[in-house]
Amino acid sequence: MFEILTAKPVLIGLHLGFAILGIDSFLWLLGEIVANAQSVKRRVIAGIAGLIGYVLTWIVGGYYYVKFYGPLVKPVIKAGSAPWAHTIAMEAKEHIFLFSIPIAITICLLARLSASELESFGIRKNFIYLTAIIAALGLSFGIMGFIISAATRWGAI
Amino acid sequence: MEKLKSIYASAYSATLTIASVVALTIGAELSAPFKNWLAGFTGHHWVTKSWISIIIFVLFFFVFRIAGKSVNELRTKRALLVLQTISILGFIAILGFYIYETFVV
Repeated sequence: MFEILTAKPVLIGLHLGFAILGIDSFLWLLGEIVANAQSVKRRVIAGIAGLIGYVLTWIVGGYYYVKFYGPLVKPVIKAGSAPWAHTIAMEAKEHIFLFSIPIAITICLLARLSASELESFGIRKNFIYLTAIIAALGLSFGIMGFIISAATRWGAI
Repeated sequence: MEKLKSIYASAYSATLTIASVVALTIGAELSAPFKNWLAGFTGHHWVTKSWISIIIFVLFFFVFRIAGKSVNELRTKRALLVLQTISILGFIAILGFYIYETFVV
């Protein structure tokens, strides 16, 4: 079982799958706040699902990055037609990702507030902006991941 | 107010974590000995940076949680605004740095 889970294509699939879970959950949360939905329970579930998705994609992606990307993928990209895919997209992605978890935790704490508390404290818009930022960060990682994958594919041909 | 205190502490702790990640990232790229020193702790500079980001966030969360006795709506709103700003600036700083390093240096 461990052998299957740590196979390179499976790791990439899990990394992407958990990232999609995280991004979609935060987009769901964003919709809940913008629509001023009254359910705290739904907001908390969406926030926690987003946080779990980001944590899992971090662990799986980190394992793949350290164990396989450095020794196997990076040399292919650097020798290919778009070495900047590593020096810009990969470098930026791996480091900017470290912003995500602290922001996601802050969002989960905000999700515990009721709609009336968010209004009376005057922080509803901040909650919206922060949730939009975490979703946008995730989508930007997706774009960078696509650039890295494409550069690897064309570097290997 | 207990909920606000946690949000306030998390927002400022996240801000400090992001600022530290930006500083560590750019610092390590500009100084090979520093990057090697970071790698020496875990075998990989990025893994060390990941652990540092966790430690800073957890540590300062409790510091701000304990220190923030007079947290109110205004202070929490300011903490969230600072976090929003530093998130965007941090993104631009790291991406901009690597673009500069690749195409200009």
